Amino acid sequence: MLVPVKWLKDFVNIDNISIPKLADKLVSCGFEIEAVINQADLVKGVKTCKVVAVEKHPNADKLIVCKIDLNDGIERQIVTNNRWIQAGDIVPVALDGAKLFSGMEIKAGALRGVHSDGMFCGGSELNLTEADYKGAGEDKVLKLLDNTPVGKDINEVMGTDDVILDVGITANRTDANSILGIAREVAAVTNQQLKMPSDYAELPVGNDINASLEVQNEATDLCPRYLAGMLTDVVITESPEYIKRRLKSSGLRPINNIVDVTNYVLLEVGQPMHAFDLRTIKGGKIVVRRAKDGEKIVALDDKTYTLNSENLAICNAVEPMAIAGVMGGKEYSIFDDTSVIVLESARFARDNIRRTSRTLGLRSDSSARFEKGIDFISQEYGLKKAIGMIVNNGWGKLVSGTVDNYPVPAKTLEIDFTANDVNRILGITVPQERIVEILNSLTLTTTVDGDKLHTVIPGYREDIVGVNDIAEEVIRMYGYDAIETSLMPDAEMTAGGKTKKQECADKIKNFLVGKGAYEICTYSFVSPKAWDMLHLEEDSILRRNVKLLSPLGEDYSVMRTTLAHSMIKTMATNVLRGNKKGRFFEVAKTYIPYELPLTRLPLEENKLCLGAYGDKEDFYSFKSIIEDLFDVLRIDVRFKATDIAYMHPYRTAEIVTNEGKVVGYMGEVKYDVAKEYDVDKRLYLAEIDEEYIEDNARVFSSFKVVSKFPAMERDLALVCDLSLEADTLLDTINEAGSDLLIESRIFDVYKGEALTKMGKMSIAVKLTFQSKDRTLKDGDVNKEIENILSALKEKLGIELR
Amino acid sequence: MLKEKIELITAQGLEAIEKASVSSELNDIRVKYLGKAGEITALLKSLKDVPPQEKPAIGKLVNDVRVKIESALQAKMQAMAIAERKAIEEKERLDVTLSTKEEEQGALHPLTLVKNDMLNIFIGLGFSVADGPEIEYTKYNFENLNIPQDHPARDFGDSFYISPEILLRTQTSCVQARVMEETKPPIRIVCPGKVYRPDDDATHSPMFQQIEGLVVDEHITLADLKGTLEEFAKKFFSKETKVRFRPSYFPFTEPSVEVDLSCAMCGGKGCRLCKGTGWIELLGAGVVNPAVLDMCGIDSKKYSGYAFGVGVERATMIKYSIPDMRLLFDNDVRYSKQFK
Repeated sequence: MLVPVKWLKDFVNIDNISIPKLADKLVSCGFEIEAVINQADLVKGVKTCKVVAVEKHPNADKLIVCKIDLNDGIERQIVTNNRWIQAGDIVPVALDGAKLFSGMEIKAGALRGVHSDGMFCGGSELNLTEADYKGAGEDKVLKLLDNTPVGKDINEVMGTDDVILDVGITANRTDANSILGIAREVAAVTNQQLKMPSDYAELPVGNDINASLEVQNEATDLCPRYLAGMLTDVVITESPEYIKRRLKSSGLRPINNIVDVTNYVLLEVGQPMHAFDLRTIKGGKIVVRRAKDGEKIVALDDKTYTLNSENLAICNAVEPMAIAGVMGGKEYSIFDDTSVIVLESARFARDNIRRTSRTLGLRSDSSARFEKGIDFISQEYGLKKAIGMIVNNGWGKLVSGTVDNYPVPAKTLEIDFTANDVNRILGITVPQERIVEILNSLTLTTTVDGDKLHTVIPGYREDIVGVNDIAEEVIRMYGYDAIETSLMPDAEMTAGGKTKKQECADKIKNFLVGKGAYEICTYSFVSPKAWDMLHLEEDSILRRNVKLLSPLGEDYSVMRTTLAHSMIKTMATNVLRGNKKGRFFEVAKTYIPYELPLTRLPLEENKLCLGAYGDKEDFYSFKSIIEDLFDVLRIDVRFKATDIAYMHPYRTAEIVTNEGKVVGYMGEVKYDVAKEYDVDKRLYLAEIDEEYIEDNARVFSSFKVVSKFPAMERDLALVCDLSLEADTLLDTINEAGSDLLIESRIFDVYKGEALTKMGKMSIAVKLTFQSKDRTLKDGDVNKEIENILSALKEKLGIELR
Repeated sequence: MLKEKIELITAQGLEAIEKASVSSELNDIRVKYLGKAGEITALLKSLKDVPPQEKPAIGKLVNDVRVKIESALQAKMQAMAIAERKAIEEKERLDVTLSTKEEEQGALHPLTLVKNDMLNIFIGLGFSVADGPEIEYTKYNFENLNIPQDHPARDFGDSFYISPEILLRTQTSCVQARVMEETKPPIRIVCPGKVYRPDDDATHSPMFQQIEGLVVDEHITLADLKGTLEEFAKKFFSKETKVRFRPSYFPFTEPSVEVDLSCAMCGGKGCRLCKGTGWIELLGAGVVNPAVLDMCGIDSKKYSGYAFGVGVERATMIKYSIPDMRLLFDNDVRYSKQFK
């Protein structure tokens, strides 16, 4: 909110407080100062001057040379192409070193051989419009009024020498979105009395208004208060300078006196108002109602809006005259010949105004203010101020009485508490007298009865509902720096820490880091195109995703059901950037809906995704990371060939536990899928059910003593079918061996032409035998080998090579 | 006569040993003097011809020469072995400055590093780590946090909605509401997690992480909040870090504060990082609004609490001087490697 400091001075005497100090004070009590705008900084070094003589330019027909006077006894001249300028004209001049609104700096110099001390300025160069000064809107040098003092800074002449504070207001302080509201805070924080300007009229008492106006409120839920006043003999004219200047300082455009008054009140009181020409209120009746579906209105912006029953409309007996709180209708506004006006000062429900404004795509200063929330006091303040301004300026005559549709008047909230209640929240001891003093300075009228305090909350402080709010009022004035730190001296001791699962997750991450993998972090939302890039089947459950209603873009529009896409994309990015190799992992959630559209929260499951690529990476190097991970977690798993849409059909395994549960997959990304990501390298990918491994990881607990008797090794070269899987071979060996067989390991696979022609290959197996209680003899081992070979032959048709 | 011969053998033997340059020569010398047919062996044999009265003296001489030759041989052999080993080692010289490193250590993501740092500090203060869903009911994200239906924060444009009642949580504060519904005081939790808001620029990401803290017990005060955060700030940044509260507003805390830490880079003197203010805004906090306690079934007359929320990305950017938040989600291995 823009707060011109001069305007603030109408309410509180801050002449002795510097601007930085004022800003600090506001910050200290909860109002951020987002900017301090010194209007005079926008245009610098421009002065008023009188043209004393005009001469022809010796070298250019289109230019003239003006001798000017700045009332300082120095002779200067300006070369200009504004040949209409005559001796005696008073115009703004930017002398050497001046800065214009555009940021341009002026330097003295020669124009076609004749010296010029600077340049004359037009309105746009001075940040002035036609509304600010007659002629300022024209694209030529601004001719000032004949009585303008000469040699003065233009900001002084135009009244654009104010300082404007851009004050940030937290959402709870709806009351502070006005000059009056900020003034209340400034008064409190600088220990001063708030003075109300004299033009706040009393609300007119009487009944005359009722003769020509009736208000019928059919939507009290959306309009809990509708207050209106009436003025006759209204003169529509231009506003005086001070009004126009203030509106402009706050970023509003002056229009005519009545519209300007409503805008002025909006800024000063924070109450949006609307003025109707009584002639347009057909039937002499204002009906506040929900619009009928399809009802149309042409608003002040000349656009036609189609309303529906979600929108609140201010209607006459026949049709809508205004979109309540948002914008008036063009045909129901103030005209040059308007003579009787009705001033509306109402409270509308903020969420309804917000929705209407959003759905119609129509925002106004009024709707912006209503969206923040309006209290029940402002309607009266607003009407008082508007009437005061109109009557004092002689722009109209007041009709006695008001119409005040206020079916459920707000109750005044009163809070009983003690200083101790406040201090128990703050954790320090603010003396009772100080608490009372602070609250009273904030117009929270507080009385004392021994140690009991009683505070009456004014209607404009709807944010204060209990002692915690009181405590905040106290501490923001008392100063947060007064809080001394403590560390919960009275609280119960708690052990704290991570859960087993969280610790396991840390362990997994650290393990992978040790394997040379880098943790990545990718967005939880992906593009729905991801599913096509992954070549997912049309009916794949991974395509059933949770969709955002208004995403930042299609690329971020659905919640991922697998981490695969993000991992492949990360690898692709790294490949494309010329990074030769990489191992990556991410632990993140997938979001699996139980049903669509969602009627309950989806299943959120943590997944561990691994990716790797590079010249030294292959299926088995990648697999060994995963095997080692499961070893470390003490979860027994097996790898079984499987088929996944985006994975290589012959280089992909699912990871299966002892109980037959599939807890993930690993392997090589299908060539065509990698190509979708513009990659022609082999990419390795695994996705593992993190929740399962966190739940089932075991810690080491059973230490085994190593046998002190020597082990014996035997190597066997076996001729097997090409299709034989390692697991089948080893399972058969382990089953046939007794418990003397402590390890069986494949150490070579040979696929020579002679063998493969016959559909065979040779597998070399190393078997290790050891006893816990004796030294083995050759005979023991030979017997074992015999059993193993006969089992292999019988079950798998395997022969010794 | 024999005596002279002995002296001659001694002199010759020692000289030969001295001159020997390879171990095979030493072997030859050993054979020549001490072997079965060696010269000293011959001397020993010839002792039997020496007259008995001279025997002890000559015998001693012969024995002395044997010992001399033997020990000289031994010493020379040892010296030679050392020299030979040294020669081999020299041949094995490697360029130790050369590196052929292939396998390398990976790294955690900087957000994980910072998150872990923060969690560990709070764990040390007795906090447990809690968890909650990212896709959340508006009830937990708003209603139970005292954000009523007509509040602007609930605007469609300010959150990622999935349905009118379900959205991506905009803050980890919803875990507060969930924990308080399920657990009774004393509560002392921190909850890290991803949250989502529709902003995307150098200082905002549509997905980011927060750590929410919540303490509910008897007699918990704003001063305790300040104490806890000061403890945190000192451990996270440095011992000299100071904490400043500024008034603010959050619907679920009252009083609410914006928490600034004295700038870690300049120590409060003012620099680019703190934009010359000497302070860095790092988190929002406050005393739990009694309305929130009551809504979650905790007696606000008996219990009070405080809550805070820290943005992990922002802290990470400050800690490592990362200029643009989007780089945290870039995942280029050249960035990742820096966090080894």
